[in-house]
Amino acid sequence: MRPGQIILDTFVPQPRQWCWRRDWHVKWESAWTLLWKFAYLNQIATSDLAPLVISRQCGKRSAILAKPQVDLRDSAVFDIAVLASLLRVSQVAVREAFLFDIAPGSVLDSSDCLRWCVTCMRSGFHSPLFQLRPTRSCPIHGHMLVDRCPACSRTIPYKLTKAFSQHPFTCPHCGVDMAPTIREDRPKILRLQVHEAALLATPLRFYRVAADAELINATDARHLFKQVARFGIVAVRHDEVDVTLSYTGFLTHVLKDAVPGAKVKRFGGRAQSITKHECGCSHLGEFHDDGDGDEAKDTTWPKTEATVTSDSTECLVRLLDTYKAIRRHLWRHVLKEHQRCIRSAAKSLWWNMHGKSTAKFCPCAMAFLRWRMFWEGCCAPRYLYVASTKELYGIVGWHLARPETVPSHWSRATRNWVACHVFAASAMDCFGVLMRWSDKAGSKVNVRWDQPRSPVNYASLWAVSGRDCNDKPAVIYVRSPPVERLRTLPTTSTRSHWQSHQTQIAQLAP
Amino acid sequence: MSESFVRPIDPKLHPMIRHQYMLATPSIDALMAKVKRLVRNHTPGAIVFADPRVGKTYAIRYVENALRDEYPGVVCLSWGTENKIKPSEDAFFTTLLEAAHHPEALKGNSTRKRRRLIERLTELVDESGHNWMMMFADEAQRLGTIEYEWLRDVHDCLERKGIRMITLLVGQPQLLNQKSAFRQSSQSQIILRFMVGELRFDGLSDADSIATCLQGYDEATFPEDSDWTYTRFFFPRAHANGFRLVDQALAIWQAFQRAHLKALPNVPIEIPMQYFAHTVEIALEESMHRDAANFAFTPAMWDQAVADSFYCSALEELHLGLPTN
Repeated sequence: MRPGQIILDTFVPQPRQWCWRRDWHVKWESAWTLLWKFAYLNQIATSDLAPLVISRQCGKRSAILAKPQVDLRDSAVFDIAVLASLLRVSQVAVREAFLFDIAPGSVLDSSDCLRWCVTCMRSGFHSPLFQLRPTRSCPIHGHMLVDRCPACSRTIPYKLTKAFSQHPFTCPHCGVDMAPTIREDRPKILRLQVHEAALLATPLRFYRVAADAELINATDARHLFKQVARFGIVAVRHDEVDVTLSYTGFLTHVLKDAVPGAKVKRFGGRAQSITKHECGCSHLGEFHDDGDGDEAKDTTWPKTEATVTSDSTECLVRLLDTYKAIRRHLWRHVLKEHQRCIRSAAKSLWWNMHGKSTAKFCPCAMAFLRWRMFWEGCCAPRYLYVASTKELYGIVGWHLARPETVPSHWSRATRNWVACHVFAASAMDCFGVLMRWSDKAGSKVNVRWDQPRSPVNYASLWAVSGRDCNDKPAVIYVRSPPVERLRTLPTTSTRSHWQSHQTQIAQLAP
Repeated sequence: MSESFVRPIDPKLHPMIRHQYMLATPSIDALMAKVKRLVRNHTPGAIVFADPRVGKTYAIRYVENALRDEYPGVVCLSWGTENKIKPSEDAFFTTLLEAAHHPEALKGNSTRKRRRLIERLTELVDESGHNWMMMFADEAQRLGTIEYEWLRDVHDCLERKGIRMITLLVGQPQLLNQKSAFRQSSQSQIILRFMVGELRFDGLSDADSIATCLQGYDEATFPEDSDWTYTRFFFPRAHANGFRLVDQALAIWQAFQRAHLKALPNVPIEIPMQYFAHTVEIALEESMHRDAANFAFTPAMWDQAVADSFYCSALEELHLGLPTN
């Protein structure tokens, strides 16, 4: 600017904006504290807050505005888009603040009274996960959650009521200050560290299972994981599989077997059939030998790139051998009566089946062909029976995507042995899943050849205990495949089955 | 070089006709320099005073724009005080909340409004990336002691949060009387916060200042990316022949002098910005239809423009002690 300069004096309307601090939104935070913070910053009463956030399309707006009693576990009556703009976060982040959005079907397993961690609340934080009854302690601080005001011993309804924003961060009954930090000149809002966010995210997996699945007590399950780690048991990680009763039941079984005296809380659910394999230790003498030649093979030494590559290649070779052995077993024993069906179906299916629909045919043939397509990375069944020019990509992908299953200082032979068992369990598990799929397909006219998941993501339950030494050899636990999957699958009438299959095969067309 | 004489837009849309432009006078420039010094030194407040219609409000808007250019994102809050029978805490904080663009400025009691304002200002300043903000209180001579105390509360609250509030009290020379009154009643807490510095905002007092302002009309263009200066827009043919407004500086000054001598011969001349700008606008608008290659303003034309701006009447009113505001 200099004297004599002319600038246009146009009126730029300034947008009216509610007060909010971007850094006051914490991941995994509940609608309760978010709305409390908003009410605190803008000093507005519920009678002013409700018209802002209640959706005009919810059908209950008038009734709610007349007498606010809104369950904060449920986002149904809230205008998520408005909330997102008020809180300046994405709609996904807003939805994460409501329990029923992150844990659908948890109505009966959650409390409609505020449950909070005193330490978290002191810094203005509350997570919707605290409302779940199975969450008994704070995943971050480990303190037991409280559901009554420490001063007046009364419960606080987890609802947007008239009293909600009268005095945010205080007990609506007695007015005791629940978050003194908020009232400081420069409040230090709880900022979750990466590991703390992970701690909160982990129990969420307990509740993100199917809506009809039985919920697990998060505190007990965490205790179980701690025990499993404490006794040196390596197991499939809970970020690879759904944390369900079968998973925790499996770990309980392993823990009881590996540590006979350990006090382990029983989880409900059906008893599981688990197979235990003990690693032979013939290779261990060679490993423990002090000779110069074997020192270089010792995996405790820093690995060169070449060593890593050869380790991985050797493991892959073993996995391929395992796969071929399983395939042979299924072919020769389990599917003995259906070899003709499989061959004829493969011959007819020459096109890329991915995402296509066909007429149904022999369920065993459908399952076996799909199983092979899955692991061999082949999309046209006919090419399963010609000399392979490519790698079996399904297995290669599975192998490369697998995290280290056992401690890296264990011998290479043991590591390969464990990997082969884990793979074998996964492959058999996969075959079981596909058999169920083909059985279900029997009731439909057409079958869709969708790939529900890639081999890369395929994990079955496994656990390894022991120390890979003579007195404590490595022991692997895997879920036993159902007995009927290891026996020859029966046919109701060989002739009629074959004729019906042939008729169905004749209808196959791309 | 041949120039086009066809105006690129309808004259009705020109900012000069619509009175939608701001001209940096030497006084505004001096004020801006002083404001920058306040910011640099973190002085908490100062008084800017001038007679009515000198262009204080207009200068605030200019300074706000210039500050935003100089310190991108800086928070500048401008609010006008209202004339009240008795001061009201509620109304005071409502005014400040409206200045802070809060959508709920009217609801709640004064305690809630206070907190709402502090949180809103803290948010704005935190988002600006600076640790200070500028507050312009227009017509500040209307503020009473209690309102200064409320303003002081806001200042202190923000101070505790690490935010420096620089307050410019803009008003008429009565502000100086207020300062004296506070001094006599030992209200140093108000003086030290809001009245430490004193800046007098002057009108135009010589032909050079007028020339500086007129140069703006010769250089500024509209539409902005065109070569249509304000002077050329009104007199395209004369402009092509070398006509420039800056050459009229002495003529305009003499026209004001003549008017002034007629009205108040014993008072030194100081032309309020409002009347100067108005005079130029009238002259340009009234004479634009006379545009020709040999067009020139006559002293009579300027005398008429000065008379039409009501400069003399305003001057008489002002010095009679009856400011028209």
